[in-house]
Amino acid sequence: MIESGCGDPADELARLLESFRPDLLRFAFWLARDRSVAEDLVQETMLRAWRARAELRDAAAARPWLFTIVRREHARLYERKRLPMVDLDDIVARQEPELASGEDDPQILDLRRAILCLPDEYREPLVLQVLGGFSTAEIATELGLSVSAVLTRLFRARNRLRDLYGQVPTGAAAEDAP
Amino acid sequence: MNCEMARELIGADPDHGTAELLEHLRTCAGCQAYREEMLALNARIRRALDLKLEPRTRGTGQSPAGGPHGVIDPATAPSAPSAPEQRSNVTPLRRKPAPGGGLLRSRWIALAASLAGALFVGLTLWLGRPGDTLAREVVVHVEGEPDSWNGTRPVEPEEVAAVLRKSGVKLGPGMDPVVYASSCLFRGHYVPHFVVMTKAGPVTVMILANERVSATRQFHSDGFSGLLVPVKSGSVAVLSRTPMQLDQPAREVVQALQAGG
Repeated sequence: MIESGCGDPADELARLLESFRPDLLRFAFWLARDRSVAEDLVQETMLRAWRARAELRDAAAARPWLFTIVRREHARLYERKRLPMVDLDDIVARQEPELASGEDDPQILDLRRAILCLPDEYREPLVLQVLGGFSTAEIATELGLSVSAVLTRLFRARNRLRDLYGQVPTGAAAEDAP
Repeated sequence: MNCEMARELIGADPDHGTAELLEHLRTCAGCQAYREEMLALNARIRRALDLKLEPRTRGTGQSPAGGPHGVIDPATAPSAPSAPEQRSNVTPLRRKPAPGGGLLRSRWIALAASLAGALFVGLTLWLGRPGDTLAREVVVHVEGEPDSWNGTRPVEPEEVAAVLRKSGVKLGPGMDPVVYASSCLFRGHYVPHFVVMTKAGPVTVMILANERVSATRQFHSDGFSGLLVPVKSGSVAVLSRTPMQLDQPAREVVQALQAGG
């Protein structure tokens, strides 16, 4: 379990976990494409992380550790029940309030819809890379794929978004960079 | 490094690059422009993914998880509330038995109809489910080769033979004309990926000698309809982009495989 200089370690860990909740919720949402399912995944993740807290030695490793738990919980959800086939238009329509959160640029909203419609095979590595900060090798390990397969999926994911979204003016990189 | 490899690396991870890629970029204006575009797109993707989702309150007055800072300690957490017990001093009403057999019979018919309906719905859902991992991967693979659908002229028999040879697959006669033939790396093996022009339209065929399925499986995913058919040595995937009967093309491929030994 993580050691801190002062204070109750359990409290420290609880605070640490809680600080990641927004990130985890965001990640879970992009995986599950459903706000309610995402909330449940995060809740389950918190519980599992708390139970497995002895495994976490370094606070710096907490984020990827938690992302991994979310992903596994999501995969477990699919194992538990075969989810019904869904209409992508319905998914987008149902999640519009989430997609509109904190954003009023119509192009970014379109991009969110396009990401939501990407097949799982493309969306998951993309979200792990961009949102989770995972390297290609880490994604390969996480998904049980070869690095070249991950590279191909990421390439195809971006090309799809590029096709759907149209060409992006190159000046936008600097403008949008965090 | 050629431009194709460079662009795949850029598209996969615009923010990073190998020394070899950077060397290529120094001399290739086209790839440099592509990288600029991908960097711009990536910045937008990052912004798009950054949803501002506020945790929903659950009306308990506590943090959503109910524990310290929202995290439950299983050792100390109260057990989950059980379902409210059925406490009622009202005796539930029971229907009197029907005086005659007619009502009873009609109930049995209704029950049988319900069961048949449920069976039908279940079967429909089963057939219409997104498919297992193999089917999904087949669809993803086919989606990655959109040009494969554009062919209209039959591919030279030598080219088809070369594709089959590379995959170690033998095919007898009897298939519709092949208008696209490629040997594709799929799940670690080279597999023949054909598009055959049937009377009803183009159909993709992938001969998966290393993938076994227990029974014929129908799937629909991403606008594709398909069949996974077990054969003696592996399986065959047959897909189309438009709704059509795939039994016949699938049967022809299976027969051609059998004829090829």
